[in-house]
Amino acid sequence: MDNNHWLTSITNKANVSETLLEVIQDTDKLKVEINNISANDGNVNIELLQFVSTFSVHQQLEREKQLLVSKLSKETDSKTFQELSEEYERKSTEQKEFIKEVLLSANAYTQVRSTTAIANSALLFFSGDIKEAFESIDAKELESTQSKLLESIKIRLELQKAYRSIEDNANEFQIKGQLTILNYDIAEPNDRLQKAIFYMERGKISASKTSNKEFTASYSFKYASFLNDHFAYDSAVKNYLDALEVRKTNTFKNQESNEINIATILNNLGNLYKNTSNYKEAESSHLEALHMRRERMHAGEPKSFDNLAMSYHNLATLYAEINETEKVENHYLESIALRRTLVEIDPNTYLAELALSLNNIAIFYRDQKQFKKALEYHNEAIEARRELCQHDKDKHLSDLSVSLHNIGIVYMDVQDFEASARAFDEALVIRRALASKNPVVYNVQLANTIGQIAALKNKTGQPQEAIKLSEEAIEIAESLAKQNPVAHSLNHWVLLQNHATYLQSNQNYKDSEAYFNKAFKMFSQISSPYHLNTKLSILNSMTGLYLTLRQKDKALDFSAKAIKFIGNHQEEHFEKLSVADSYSTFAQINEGENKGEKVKEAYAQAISYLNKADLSSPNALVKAAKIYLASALYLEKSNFFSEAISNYKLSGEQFKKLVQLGKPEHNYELGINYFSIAMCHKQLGDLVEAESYVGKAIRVSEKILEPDSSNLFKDLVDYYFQFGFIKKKNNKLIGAEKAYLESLSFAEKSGAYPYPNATLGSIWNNIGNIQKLQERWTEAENSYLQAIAIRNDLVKQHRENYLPSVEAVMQSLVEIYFKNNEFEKAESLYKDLMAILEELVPKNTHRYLPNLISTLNEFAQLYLQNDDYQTAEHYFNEAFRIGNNPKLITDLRSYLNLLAETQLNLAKFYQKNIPHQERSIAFAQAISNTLKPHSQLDIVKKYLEEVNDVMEYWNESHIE
Amino acid sequence: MSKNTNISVIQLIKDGEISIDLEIEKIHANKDVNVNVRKFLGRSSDYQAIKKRIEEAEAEREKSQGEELIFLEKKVHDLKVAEKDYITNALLLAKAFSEIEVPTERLRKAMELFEKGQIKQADELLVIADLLDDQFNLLVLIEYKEAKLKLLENGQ
Repeated sequence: MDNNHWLTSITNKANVSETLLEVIQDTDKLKVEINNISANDGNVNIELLQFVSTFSVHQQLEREKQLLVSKLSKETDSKTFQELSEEYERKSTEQKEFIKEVLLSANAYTQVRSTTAIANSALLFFSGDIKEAFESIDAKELESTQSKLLESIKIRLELQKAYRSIEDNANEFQIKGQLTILNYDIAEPNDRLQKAIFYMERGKISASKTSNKEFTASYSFKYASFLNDHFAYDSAVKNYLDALEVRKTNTFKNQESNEINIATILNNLGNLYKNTSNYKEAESSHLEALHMRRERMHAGEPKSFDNLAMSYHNLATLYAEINETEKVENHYLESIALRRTLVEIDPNTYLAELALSLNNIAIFYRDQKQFKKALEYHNEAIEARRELCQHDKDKHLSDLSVSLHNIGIVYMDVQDFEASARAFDEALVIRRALASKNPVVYNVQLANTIGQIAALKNKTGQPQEAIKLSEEAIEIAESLAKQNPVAHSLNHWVLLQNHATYLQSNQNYKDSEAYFNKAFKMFSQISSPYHLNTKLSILNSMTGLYLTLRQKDKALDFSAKAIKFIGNHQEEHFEKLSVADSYSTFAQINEGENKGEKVKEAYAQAISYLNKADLSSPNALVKAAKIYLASALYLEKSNFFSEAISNYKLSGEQFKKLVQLGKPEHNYELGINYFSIAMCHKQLGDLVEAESYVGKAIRVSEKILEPDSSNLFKDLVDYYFQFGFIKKKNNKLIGAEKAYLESLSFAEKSGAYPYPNATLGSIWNNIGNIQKLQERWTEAENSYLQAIAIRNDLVKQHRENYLPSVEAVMQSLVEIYFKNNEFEKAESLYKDLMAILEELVPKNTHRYLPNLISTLNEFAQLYLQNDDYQTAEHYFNEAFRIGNNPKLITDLRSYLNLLAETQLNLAKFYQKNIPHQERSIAFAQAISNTLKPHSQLDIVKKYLEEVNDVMEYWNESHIE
Repeated sequence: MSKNTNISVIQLIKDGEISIDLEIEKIHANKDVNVNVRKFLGRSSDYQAIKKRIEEAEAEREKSQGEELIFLEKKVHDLKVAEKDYITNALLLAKAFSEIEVPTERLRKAMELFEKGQIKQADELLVIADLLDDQFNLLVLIEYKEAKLKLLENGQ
């Protein structure tokens, strides 16, 4: 029974004040009071006396003392008086003794642990009934209770001994289990493990029977750790949970230590759940451990900081694994903050852990494309690990190489190739040294770093170096894969693929094909869903390789395989950009097969994946731009000009972003995009937009102009040429001429247009056209003569190709001569022209016959103007003779118009020459007859009206 | 009489001179283990047998080619994994011994044999039939005493 409860009962029921009870409880104070009573010096605690006065013995003694006092007052005999006085003294002493005994007894009640019997007795005692108080405790009963208690104690002692023995037994089973794991007489490791588990399971039965729950929980924890170490994960989880239950459902002497243990179990469970992909359970366990550790974090206990930091770190790695990216950063940062504090307290113990968290968050930032932060944290980790190496090189050198390798990759991402090379080189030196001592462990890391350096060399235009290094990496990886295919095949496979790519970029297609085939053969061995993208990359690369080798069937086969592969797997596992690349390539290959719908659909798929793709890196932007461009080119070719413009614009946007990212060289591609948009607008007849986009193409291209940009010069020749053409169409003749002259200037600068050159001929011709429109005859003549000279020289090289172009420019020039009445030049040129046309007409009658007729007409007109009627008649007749054969003409209406024109000229000629009146009429009838069968009545009418005018002329004034 | 220079690896663990976690970390990173751990392993005939098998397989590998070479490379690798497992398990066992505050006579003897590298003998010492007998007797005894105590304390 609770002593406080019993004392309260006394104060309530026995009418004893709390103050008095306090005095009685306090042994020292009570002894002072008893002495005071004995001394009878008046300094007496009245309340104490009042309490004692309730006892019947005290009252009896008091009565006897009063009686003696009464007798003494009446007694006269001195002897009797003396005797009565002595009697009174004895009673007084007896009373004091009684008071002393009562108070000491009362004190005794308050000092012993109360039982029900003691409590009842005490209540009677404090109420003043000593006899009842005494009788309430039965001696026999006490003896019986005593015997039971002794028996109970004996059994408890025996049980304690048994519990200790059963704990020993549990320990023996545990040790037996662990010895069995080392018993190599049992040949099979799994048989050893099963036996060990059997023994430890027996031990667990023993451990569960002890009353020492600390032992029970510890055994389950140790057993769980053993199972975890031996990959028996399910059983490990069960035993951690058992340990957790024991700790959560029992009271422990040291509850704080128990809570620390609970948090440790939860932490281990969290890691175990994570390793077995039970992510929800892992998160819940880690969070519970985290909350407990946060609750009991003490500033003076570094270990509590360390544990909490560990929980934050473990949760961060878990969130990173399940892609809950928004939580990863915070948890790493919390862990880092705690570990920084710990490092200030004890750098020797905690710097390595801080470096680990710094390394991990840097990897996270790299995955998130936050390269600046990734570099910052990697650098800090490197600094920490360098410091650690100064104290214990053996222990930390490998970690330093990890950080150097990782930062090398980030420097590659940000295209700081020099820094990347420095980091990789340092990592390589370390790893070569480590691998020479322990190849089994460090060859993997060595192959990785060599592989990365190969990638860097390839990226920086050193393909030969890349190939050499890659071969070394493959050799190491291949050897590792032979020893342990499960662990190392993947690495080997990736290196094979990279090597094939380097060979491909070095135009060693034969070896590249062989390596791609090796990688492709390993396809089925790599089952991890995390490497679907690598597989797709192989299929895409092989497609690209066969396209380069012009083995279209194989390219088509691998491209189709890639599309099928995408279809067979869940979309979410793929990098959207790679899928877009696959569809785009598939479309490009099928373009040549006239599979219009298939191609358009594939491009649409490619664009739809591009819209979902992560385009944050420069490489991704370049790839996306090229895919948009390929699609736009196809659409343009298929006359879908508006859709083509949209895709050209998207392609241009990617290049523009690259320029904004500090890569001005991409202005080159941006220029091409703008120019293509302009050409589409030109096709759509929107010459204003066309002019605007050619202008943009020129502006962005000229931003990157260097004295030796020969390719760009060539492009600018085209841009300015089209600029001139469109400006002329938009009636901006001055601007057009200027553009043509720029085009000419770039053609000269580029050195790509050695004389004679068709482009130069065209430019001079077009300049001549503008000058002609402005009636700048002499300049136009000179320009045309330049064009004719160039084209005549080209005719010497390839007559058939260039003769028509000579004819065209001669037509333009002869017009100038004709208009300017330069008879001799015109006559000479007409003769040349007709000679050319006579050569061209049989080759392309429908095109050149009209030219010949009109030229003959013009030639006749020339003679007419110079009053050489006879020659004029000859050429008019010649024009009519050659032209009066409609079967030769495909464009009937144009032909007939031309024929009518000829007849009209002839009629007009006769009109002026009286002797030929009949001929005029005859021709009038002839042309009418020629035209009527072709229902070209409007032309007939027009002609007859003209002839009528001639007739009237004859009738009125010139009739002979 | 020669002086026993063998230092107890279990005692070193108890005294915090050897950290098992650190040693296991070193083994997996192929780093050199503590000198006393090395001495301890040197006393184990099973460990020596594994080492010998590795040396033999490596020597054979040097002479072989083709498929046989692939086979032997895998064999060497597997044996090295077994070596690591052996050291790890031996250290975990040493740690388990060190955590027993008051060992039974049997465990004390097993510990002595373990320290001498006589792991097989230590294993043989803990006869499973004895352990099971002890367990049975103790379980019965505890059950009986607990029931008796319960009766006594319930006043029956």
